[in-house]
Amino acid sequence: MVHLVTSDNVEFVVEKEVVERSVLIKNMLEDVGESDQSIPLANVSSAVLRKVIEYCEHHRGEPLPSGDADQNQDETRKRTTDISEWDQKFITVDQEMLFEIILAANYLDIKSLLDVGCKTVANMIKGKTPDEIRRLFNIVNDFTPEEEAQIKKENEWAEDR
Amino acid sequence: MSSHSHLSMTETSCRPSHLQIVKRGHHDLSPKTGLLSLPEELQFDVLHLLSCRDILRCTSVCKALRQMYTSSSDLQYIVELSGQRLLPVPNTINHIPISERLQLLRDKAHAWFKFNPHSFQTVSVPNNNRLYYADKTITCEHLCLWDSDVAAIIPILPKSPQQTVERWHQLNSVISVSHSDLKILDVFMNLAQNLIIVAYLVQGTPHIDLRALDGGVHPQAAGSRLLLSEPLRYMANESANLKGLGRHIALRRIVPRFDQWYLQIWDWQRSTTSNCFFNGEADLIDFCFLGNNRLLVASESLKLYSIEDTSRAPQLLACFLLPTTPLFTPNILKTEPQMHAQEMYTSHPEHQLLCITYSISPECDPFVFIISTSIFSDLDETAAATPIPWDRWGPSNSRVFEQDCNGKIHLSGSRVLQVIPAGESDYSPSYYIFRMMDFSPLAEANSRGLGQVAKETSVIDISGITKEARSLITSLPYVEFVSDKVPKGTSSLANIWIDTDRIYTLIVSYSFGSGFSNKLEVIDI
Repeated sequence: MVHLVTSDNVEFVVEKEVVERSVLIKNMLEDVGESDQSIPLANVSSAVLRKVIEYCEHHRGEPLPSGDADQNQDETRKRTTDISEWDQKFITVDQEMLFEIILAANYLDIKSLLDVGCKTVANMIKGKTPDEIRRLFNIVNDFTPEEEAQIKKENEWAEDR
Repeated sequence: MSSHSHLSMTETSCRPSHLQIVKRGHHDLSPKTGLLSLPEELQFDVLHLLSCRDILRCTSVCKALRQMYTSSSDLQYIVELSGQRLLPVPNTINHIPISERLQLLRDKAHAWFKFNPHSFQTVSVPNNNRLYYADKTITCEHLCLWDSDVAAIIPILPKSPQQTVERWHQLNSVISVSHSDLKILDVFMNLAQNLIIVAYLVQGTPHIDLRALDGGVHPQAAGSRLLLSEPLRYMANESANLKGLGRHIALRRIVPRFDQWYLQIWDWQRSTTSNCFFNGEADLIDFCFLGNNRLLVASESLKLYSIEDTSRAPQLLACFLLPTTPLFTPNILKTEPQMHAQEMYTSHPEHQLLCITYSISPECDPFVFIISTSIFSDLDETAAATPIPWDRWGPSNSRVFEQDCNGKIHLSGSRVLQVIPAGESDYSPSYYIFRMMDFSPLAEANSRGLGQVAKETSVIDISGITKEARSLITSLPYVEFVSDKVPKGTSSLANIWIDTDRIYTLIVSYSFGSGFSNKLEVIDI
């Protein structure tokens, strides 16, 4: 069992096999060896870690993606945004939690969870106009009207076909 | 422990702690946990999953996302590929850094307009009297030719000599029948597939044999002979054509005197028989493959069929009406992306061009329709039931030009080359007009190089020619570049081909003593 302590000081006790889906923790455990000392996760809140552990529990035992395969797929990889049914349900959370999960997955180095998060954000953007994207993520339009018109003109070709 | 302090620093920069108490609201413009608060590499991971259109839309959201795009070769590469209607060929360019790939692509788009028809290399074509009449095509930097006895594949100025093939086949050794009453109808050769298919008649009965180009039975073939479902007797003047794409091969037979035609499609890797055929009278047809499971048939209209299952009849998917009734069979020209080992890119299967030439009246030159194949994707189920009128699919997805009877046309990916003889007489033109067109959206958007952008709608008045329509209105945008080429001596241009890197012109010249001779002029583009 591995002891994890979140930023809001909540301790989680998790099976090693589950928590080792995080490459960061896996490496730490390998460095430290068997130890009962708890691992502080200063970047992750308890609410987020609960979700992350739920994900790792569900996917326990699945092979971890290897770095080599990733590089080979660079060109051939279809830039697909398909998400499996369970993951889809899992990631149906409010926007703040979604981005927190992405940040946590990045920090903990859980490649497959990071993928699910990025795909979800990509799916949210798909088909939306710049204005809809701004409203969706609460982004301020900091272009001058002239700049905006210029960019619109440059990108026109991709719009009508 | 040093890694810990590093990681917590990343945290403060991407998730400032005070934001957790800020409530959401439209007037709250300070950043909170959201897209822009992600570290740049994660924002990139998200954008990298998007299509070209969605990426470009993101670049007009705010300066931060625009900056991310303008500093990322990867994202610009996705947009460039899509804008040039290209797909990378797997495992060919992974070793080249993305910034170089982007530059290569952009250079390629520019190079098209640096075209110089007077700078070319000459290749002589094997020249005994027989082969002068041989059928010739060019694919993958190889010339394929055949006549009544011989089929040959000859490399033309290969860029990487280890990937070239030169083969000469005595056709009577390819086919399994030896008979005195034997007539070759057509030969189909595909270098990438190592395939040669011969259609021939023995005592008036048609046969189709297939072999590996390097000899013997083809390892992927279901058998060495394809069987015709209805082996009609040969009639005088019958013509036959083989066309192939991937695992499909089709034979079309036309008997003009009786206005009969017959078209059968086989999945040669799966079975030597098929129930996938059409026949008809009067309205003669031409056809082409569209992707792996689609067949387009042109007669009075364009009909799209599914040929996924060759054990049953072709299934009609959609019917596209033409603006006027063709006088003769419309002629379809479409090039298939050829997977050659050294090609790094192939044209996007859903965004190619096809070229349909047909006459509407004996009094005027034929019209050539350049049509984007994107009209054949995303069809709904109702398309089969109701013919789609020209006005709905045609004008915005095509361009119509008048085609000189003696003109030539060829296409590759999103580029079209039209060559028109000009000056004096058609039989000895004093020069040729090379008209090159690029229909890829980026070519038109950036108008790179010398080309003229044609965005405006073109209108061809046909009111005096036919009663069906007053004018042909088309508006598919393209970039055009026109150049002249003066032939040398008593030579004339017999055919043209274009691929991603070159234009090939087949020049026929005559001299006393040696008679007619063929040569190819190869122009880099």
